[in-house]
Amino acid sequence: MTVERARKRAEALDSKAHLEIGKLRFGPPHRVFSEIRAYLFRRSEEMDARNNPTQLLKLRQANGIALIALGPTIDKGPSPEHFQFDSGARLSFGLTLRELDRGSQLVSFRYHYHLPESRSPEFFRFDLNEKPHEDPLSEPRCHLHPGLEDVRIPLPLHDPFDVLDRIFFVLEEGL
Amino acid sequence: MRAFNPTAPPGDVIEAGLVCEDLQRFLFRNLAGRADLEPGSQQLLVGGVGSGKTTELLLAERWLREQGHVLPLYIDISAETDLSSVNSGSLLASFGLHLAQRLPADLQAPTPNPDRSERLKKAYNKVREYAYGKEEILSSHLADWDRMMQVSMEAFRHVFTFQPQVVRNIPGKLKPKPPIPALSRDIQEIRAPLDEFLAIAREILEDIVVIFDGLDRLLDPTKFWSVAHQDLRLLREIKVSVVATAPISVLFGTSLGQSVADHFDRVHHLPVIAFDPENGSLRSVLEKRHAHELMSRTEADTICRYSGGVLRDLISLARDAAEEAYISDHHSVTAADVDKVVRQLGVGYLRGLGPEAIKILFDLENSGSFRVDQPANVELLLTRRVLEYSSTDFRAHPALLSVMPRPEAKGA
Amino acid sequence: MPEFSSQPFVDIARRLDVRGGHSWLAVLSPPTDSAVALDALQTELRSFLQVPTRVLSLETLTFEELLEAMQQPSDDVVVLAAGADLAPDTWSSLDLMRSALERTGPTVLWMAPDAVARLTEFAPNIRSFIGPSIYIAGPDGGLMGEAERQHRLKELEQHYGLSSEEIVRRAESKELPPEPHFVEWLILLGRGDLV
Repeated sequence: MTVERARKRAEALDSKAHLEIGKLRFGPPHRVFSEIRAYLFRRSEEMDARNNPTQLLKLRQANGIALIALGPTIDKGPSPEHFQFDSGARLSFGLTLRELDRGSQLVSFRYHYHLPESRSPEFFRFDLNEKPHEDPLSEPRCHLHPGLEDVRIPLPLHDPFDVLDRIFFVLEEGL
Repeated sequence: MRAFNPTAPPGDVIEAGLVCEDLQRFLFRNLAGRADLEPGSQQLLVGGVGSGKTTELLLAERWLREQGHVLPLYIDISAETDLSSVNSGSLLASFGLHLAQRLPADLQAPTPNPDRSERLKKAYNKVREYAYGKEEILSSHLADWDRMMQVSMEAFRHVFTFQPQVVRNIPGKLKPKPPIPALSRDIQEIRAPLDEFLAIAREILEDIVVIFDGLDRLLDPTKFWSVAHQDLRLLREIKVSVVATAPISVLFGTSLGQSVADHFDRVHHLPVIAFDPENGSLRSVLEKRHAHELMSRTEADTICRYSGGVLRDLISLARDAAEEAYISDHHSVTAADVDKVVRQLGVGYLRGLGPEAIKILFDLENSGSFRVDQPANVELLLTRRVLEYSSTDFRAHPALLSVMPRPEAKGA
Repeated sequence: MPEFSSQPFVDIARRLDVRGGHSWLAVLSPPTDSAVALDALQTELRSFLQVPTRVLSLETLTFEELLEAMQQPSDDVVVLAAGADLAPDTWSSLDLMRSALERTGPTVLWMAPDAVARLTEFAPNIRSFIGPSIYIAGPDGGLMGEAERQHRLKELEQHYGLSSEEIVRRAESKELPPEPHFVEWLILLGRGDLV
């Protein structure tokens, strides 16, 4: 059981994930944007914290590729641009899609769920890289940061809504 | 907020207990009582768009049903046929079909009667043919007699409880009926099958009352009369009481309207209700729907005032104001929310008004004068820019007045 | 001349959502790209209300066809499209059949602004159903503005200590790491071609 074997297993796992991600198809970026916004509106209605998804969620499209973003690109602390949770946690995310046929394909995402003060770990971040890394053992293409920037655990959740579901219905519920 | 749905089916609203039954001084009891006491009588209910006519008719239907000896049939004829085509005989055809659908269940209890069933079946087939024409029968859509019997028996438990349009409340059992087509019909052809139905019905019930809703959509009294005249004459002959809605132009406008009104035993006018902060009857409509949970009395009164007393506008303004508060993330309805929706309503009424119409409205506001014999003025009544509080009291819709461009003062 | 309120399509959807069944409202189409806007409205309604959304043209359907289409099914969202040229007779016919058009799902009247006058004049019953709920199709409000784009670029430059020009150079040389931030960076620069 050497690190080389570990690397080989990681490569096989990453390769499989990469193929699955490549097969995923979504609606056109504007539809995905509308669906995420609708999702956030529904969650907002279920909580006491006041969020306005129309103001928070933004779309930018150019050259056949789109960015859907909420909150700051780099989390440096609480801000009005974050999505606020009743627990005191906050969420920021960025999701990129490439237009394909009459729909779109996933390119990358990052969902940064920052826990309230004095909670551990400090954050969970769900990342999907644009492509596989040369060392998938240390950096799988789709991974979770459990509060540590240099630790990346492979993540089988590739659909952006699957990630949001875990944030709203698992992480937030668990606090 | 869902208690404030201006387009909810009136039957649902009544069942939910959201209606102020005394708002129009129990007019529905007058309608129903006369129809019951005078078989073959014919009454008109006239009111502007959104004045609450359907609600009064459904309350009348319920009242009649509660008496136990009358079979009331509520029919929204505008939902059953295309009124834009001259469609003589369609009222009778619809009446026959509704009667056919209601009778089997009523008459099979407590014991079945094969001879009676056979007579009903033959009469039903003739009515169906009359309604849809010989080549028009779509047997895959229309219930044959046996299927309809089955449905009707399931509906039996609703017969003497308030449930308008029973057949439509049993989803999946009958496909939606195709509309009654506009055909050239000999009115007398349906006399025989109707006589058969009525003879059987009167064996156990004293009387039939038919309530025709939707005829008020025929804004021109000429059109109203061309659809209704011959059918109503036959209904009077066979002593079926009729209550029907009619366009407001029957009351106000040309002499033709007056001659139409003269054919009826009674014409009831459902006027708009004037806002009076002391009286509070408009406010009671909102309170019945728990408006106090959404807005203060001040906002409720503003809504009452700017509705002009048109009931549907009242409910719409309340609903839209609450919705505005929701969209704007306010904790309750604010004055700004109310102002916004009043303005929205007013702008809707303002669109399409030319300078002459605007002048008429300002003259009305300033001097109270309004000539109902002028076609342009009747148009203003029909489109609710002008509201009738009585046969002599006319006023411009307050929401419209609030956005109308004021004429520049002369000599300023 | 006073105007109707402008509403983004997401707020139209929210209004229909909070109202529940048997709801009518009207949306006034923009003067240009009306078909694109209608498509965006349909997308928004479907996404938010999570039910199919159909568009029916009032110019082409007969009374029977419209009746059937409105009721089969009766609980999804129907958008009735009416052009400015829809004839007065057609409006009158629609008004006459208003009861037959009643359904549990929402009905949205998509119409040219000039059609409002005809609606009031020739279809007062439908206008009454709509009431104050006539809205101009407004801008989405979700599109990222220039100020925000610049702010995000500055955040990235400061965080990584790299200029945007350097990022482009590295992307062209295929030297950029695969992390999501760099994809976003290129999109913000309008260089999605390098992704």
